[in-house]
Amino acid sequence: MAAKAKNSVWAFLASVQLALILIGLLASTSIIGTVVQQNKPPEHYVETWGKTGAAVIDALHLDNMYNSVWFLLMLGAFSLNLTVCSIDRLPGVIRQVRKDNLDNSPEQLLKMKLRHHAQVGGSVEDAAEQAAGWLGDKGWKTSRRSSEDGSILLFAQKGAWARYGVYVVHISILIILLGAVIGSPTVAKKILKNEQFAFKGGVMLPQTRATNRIFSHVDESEISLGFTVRCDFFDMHFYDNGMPKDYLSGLTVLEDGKEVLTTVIKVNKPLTYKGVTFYQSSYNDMHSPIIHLTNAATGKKMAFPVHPQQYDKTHSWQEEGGGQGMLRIQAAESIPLPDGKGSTTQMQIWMMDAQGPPSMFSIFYNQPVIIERPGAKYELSIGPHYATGLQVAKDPGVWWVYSGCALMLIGLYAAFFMSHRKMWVLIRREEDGQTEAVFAGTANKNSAGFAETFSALAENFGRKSN
Amino acid sequence: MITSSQLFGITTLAYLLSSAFYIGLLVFRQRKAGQIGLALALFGILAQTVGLGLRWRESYQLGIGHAPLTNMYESLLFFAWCTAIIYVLLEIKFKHPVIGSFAMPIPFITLAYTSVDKGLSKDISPLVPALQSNWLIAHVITCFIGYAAFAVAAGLGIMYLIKHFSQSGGSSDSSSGILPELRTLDDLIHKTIIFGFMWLSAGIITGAVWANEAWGTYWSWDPKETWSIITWFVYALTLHARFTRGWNGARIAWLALLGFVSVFFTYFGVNYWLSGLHSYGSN
Repeated sequence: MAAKAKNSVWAFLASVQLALILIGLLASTSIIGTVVQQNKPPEHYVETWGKTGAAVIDALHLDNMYNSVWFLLMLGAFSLNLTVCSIDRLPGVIRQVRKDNLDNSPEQLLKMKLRHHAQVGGSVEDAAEQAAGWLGDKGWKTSRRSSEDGSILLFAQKGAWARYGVYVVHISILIILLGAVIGSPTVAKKILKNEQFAFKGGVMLPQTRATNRIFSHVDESEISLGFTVRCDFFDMHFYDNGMPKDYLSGLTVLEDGKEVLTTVIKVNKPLTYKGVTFYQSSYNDMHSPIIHLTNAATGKKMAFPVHPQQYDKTHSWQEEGGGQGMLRIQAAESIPLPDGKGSTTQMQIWMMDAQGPPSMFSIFYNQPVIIERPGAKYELSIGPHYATGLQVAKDPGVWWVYSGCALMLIGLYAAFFMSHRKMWVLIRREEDGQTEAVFAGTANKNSAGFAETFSALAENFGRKSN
Repeated sequence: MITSSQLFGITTLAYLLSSAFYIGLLVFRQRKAGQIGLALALFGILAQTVGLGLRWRESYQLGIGHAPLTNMYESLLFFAWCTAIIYVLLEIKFKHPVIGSFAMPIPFITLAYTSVDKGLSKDISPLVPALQSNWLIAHVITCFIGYAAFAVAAGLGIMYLIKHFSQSGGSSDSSSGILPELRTLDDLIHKTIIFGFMWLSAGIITGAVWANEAWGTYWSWDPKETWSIITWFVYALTLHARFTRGWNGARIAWLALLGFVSVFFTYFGVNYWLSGLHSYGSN
């Protein structure tokens, strides 16, 4: 009784009916989250769906439904169904693949739809050699067994593993879901109690500033990176028609205060360091100016944020050959633009470095100039101070997901386009003393295609050996 | 010098005439009509191929060179092109030219729509940063081969249902008599769905990899992603019902139609009615 109850539960969990119900439920409920916008503030739902609608949305967690308990439970049930179904059916498929195909009786072969009889000369042994050689040349590697009545049976097969295709697809889905669990920030935080294991977050990093923490997207909590990243610059370019062309951030990674690597990231070109990936995702204007100074000879870039209340502060740096460089905005005034629309800022600059007397000159906001000094040449500009918006993610599950995806494509191909083809040749002596080769074959898919291959092989062999 | 848009005009006309001749084959049962239909379809594909190549070249002349796969208009062009090619390959392989009367109108209607909808921008515009990726081409091509196969499957589904109902109505001498056997249609629907399913899967996967490269998350339940997985589920359901429950015939034909409704919503509905990352449809 208990065993029977267990069997019926097992049978239900392994059943295709359950799979069909779950797939149908997943497909239909998924629609809700595309109509009800996800992860909006509560006011949005009241505005869009009214008080009652918002209450329903809140009760069923439809504002974050793909992470809700009921949706995850459905995915869990789906995974269980896939697992049980695979465990239930795989042994049978393995038996099919490993089957001893030389065990077939002549009667079984003679019942197969694909059959061809050929008269061949010589002894049974010679004919068997010949048939094995002929099939081998065509890529069908044969095994053989002699039987007591003097006949010989040859067998060859192709694509036996294609029978696993469906299960490869099923297992690939489980691997993808496993990857999603491994990479889940929620699992890392709540179950592993280690939010550094997997996280998704972001940080607004003003130019020249560095950080060793970012903020989690899940709950805004701080996550320590274990190293420091600095924004050296943020830049953007536009096409002639005003559309954005690219957003770039110069980033430097520091460990224990030492620069480890410097690179430029842009959209679609992230930086990965120690499993943590930094994506260019947005930017912010800090509404204060910044001074960019580049040594044209060495390429050394420096940046000095300007505090609007203390704009005439002196900025200094160490020259590479020793000595100090200094730069100061002496005065700044707003002047109207030539076209009369709006205004710009003109600034008086005082600057010196290791060699020569100080330089004094004026520049306009956001217009780079070249400064020739006795010892060096500089490019100088004063423009808006940006912060780069970085998306920061650590997802140790992503390679599981990618492997699952690759496996899925292989499995789909095997399941749909490969077929398990079997070919037998029974060689026996007929009553009149003639040697006969009986070809027989089956395929579990695309039988029309295999029929052509089969008749080409069998008939050509018959013709050849006559 | 001929321009790409002139070539697309010629293509539209070729697909229209091709459809007309295929329908002529269906109605008058003249084999010749089917052959002209095929010739016109091939001519249309050729003109469109040159047109797409020219548009690609024009984008380089504008200094913003990229494959013509980056906005709603270009995606419709590519969809029509894929559908026509998939149909012609189907005819060459299975030799049922009458299917053209249901398949060739799809690329024609698609191209006609691009010239009727004035809201559709036909400009070759430069790529915004998010689209500047090698995954763009792989993602769009795989998705649209899938969509095109599903469109053809839906056309076959309609044929199946027409034949099915006219047979059960007893009017065997109507034009449905020239339609392929129900069994043949059923088999073709199944084969096209399998083909489309493979490409849709590859399309979803390339999209996920791309999203991970650009935004650091391979799956964010954005409406487009969600609808693509809904479509995937619908066809997965269809295949399971057929393989394991022995569903075939009219039920699979209806599912081929339901699947295409889902494809249509993934492609169009999401862009026009829902908000999300694939907002190129709004321009």
